[in-house]
Amino acid sequence: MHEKGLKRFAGGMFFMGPALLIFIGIIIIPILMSMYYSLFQWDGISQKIFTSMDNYSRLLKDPVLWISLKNSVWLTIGALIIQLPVGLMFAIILGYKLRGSNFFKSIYFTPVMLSTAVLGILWSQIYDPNFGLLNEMLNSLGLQSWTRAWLGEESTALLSVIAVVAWQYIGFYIIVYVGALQGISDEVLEAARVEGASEWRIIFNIQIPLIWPTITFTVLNCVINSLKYFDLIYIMTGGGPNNSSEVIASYMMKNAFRLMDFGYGSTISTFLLLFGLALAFIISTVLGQGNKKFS
Amino acid sequence: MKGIGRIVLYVLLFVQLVITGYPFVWMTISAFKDNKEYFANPWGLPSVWKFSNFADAWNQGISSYLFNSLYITFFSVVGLLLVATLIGYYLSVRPFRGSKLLLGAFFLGMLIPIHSTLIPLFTIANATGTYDTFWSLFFPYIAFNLPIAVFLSYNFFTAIPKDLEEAAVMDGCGIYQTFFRVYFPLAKPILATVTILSFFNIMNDFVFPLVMVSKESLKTLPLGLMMFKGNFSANYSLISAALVITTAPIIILYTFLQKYIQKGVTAGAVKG
Repeated sequence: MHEKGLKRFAGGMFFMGPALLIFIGIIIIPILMSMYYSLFQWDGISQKIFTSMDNYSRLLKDPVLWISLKNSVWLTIGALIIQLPVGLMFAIILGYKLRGSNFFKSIYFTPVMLSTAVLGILWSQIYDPNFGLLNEMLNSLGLQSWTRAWLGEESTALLSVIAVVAWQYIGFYIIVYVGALQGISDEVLEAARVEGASEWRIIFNIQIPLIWPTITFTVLNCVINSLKYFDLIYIMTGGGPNNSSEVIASYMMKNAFRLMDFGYGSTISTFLLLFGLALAFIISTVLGQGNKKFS
Repeated sequence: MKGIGRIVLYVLLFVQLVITGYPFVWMTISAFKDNKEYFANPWGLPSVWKFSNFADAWNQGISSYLFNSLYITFFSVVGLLLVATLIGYYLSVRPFRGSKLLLGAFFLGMLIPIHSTLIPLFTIANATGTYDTFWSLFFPYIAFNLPIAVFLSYNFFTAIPKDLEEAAVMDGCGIYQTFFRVYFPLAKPILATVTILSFFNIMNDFVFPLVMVSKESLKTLPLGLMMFKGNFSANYSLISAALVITTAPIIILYTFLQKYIQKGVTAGAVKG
């Protein structure tokens, strides 16, 4: 019943051709081109000048790159230690099916659907040093000394953005974990309760081990997305003040499209790609061991 | 769950509710204020409800940004659905040597940061004359949603028993008819999931318009909102109104399709 020869070829082209063309043309080839560009000094307009590995030695010596890398890592750690545990905690709480659970769940998910432009503008207003809700709130609580220009000071700019990213995505992980926890049959939990297991034991010895594959996947998902994070940094701080909230992706964009340094921009984006892939590989290997342990 | 424990849980749920929900409440109330009152009275209700903010924001560009977003998203999603189900179907009914490898490559595609491709996509767009055209958004949107869409549709088609295809062949269907008459219509659940997932991804994307587009008729809402904010930077209540206008349709859609939207948006993080 399977087609042969030319017919088979035509079928393959018809069904797979469009996807392959788009995938190769928009993702694979540009990645290779980016690696190629990274070997040149180029402003995007004049002649490319081959400089071999010069951009890479510049990368290693560039203090702002290291700041960006450190900030990306902080953003990732912040996401991991806030979004996932808080998400899991609320998923477990919602699992008790208290009255109103569905309503709470619906509201928690709302920011996930909205664009970073909306959230970035909204939170810039909340953080506004003169009229923002946050400083107003601190003032009315008598904490004047705590008020500050949240996005305008080096010590708080990155933290303020990390807080908004967490605020947006906690709801995402709540929904993911609620779904995973629903896969555990009520009988197992009831049996444990009849046996006299405490709620804490049920959480740590039954629920978490049983949804470990999902936790693994969310860790990976969270790291990948945090490492390449760009939107709110660009919208809320532009990487500033004084590079204090610069992340790898925003620094790459700044070099490429503001300073028009396509060669160096490509070097940073190649670095971002390889670093992300390496980290994804390491995480999936390490957490894969956890899967074996629990299954 | 009884007694103290129950109260603690409710307190936690309620605190998270306020943290998540209050910014939207504040945004909505601010949108009805006059700009002076926005600064003078940030917490309270407006003394006079100023509806004209909405009309002003709508007429000062938000309506056209919304329209741009909708049509670009619509065509990109339709293109994605077709392209992804075609290959997902073929890989599941006609596996060949290397087809697993191909799926693996798509899977790896999910890990690729968009930013690693932006400089070359920009130079390609300039070289081919597609910079600042519909296509410079359309193709990247399909490409970057393709990995998850191929994965979901491949899994869906693979779960359908082989008898179905045999029956279709018995009835005289070739591979094309089998797809368009039998499999594609069956795929409604997965089409819905991919539609929702990619709708939000594309609708909310900020990076591609930022790099690939400069004319007004292609600026989608996220970029448009930034422009709007730049133009009216001192008029906070007008900006709030613009935010409400862009948020409201999503919230309304969400109240009707809650379950589907939650499932669709998280689809990428559930299946490993």
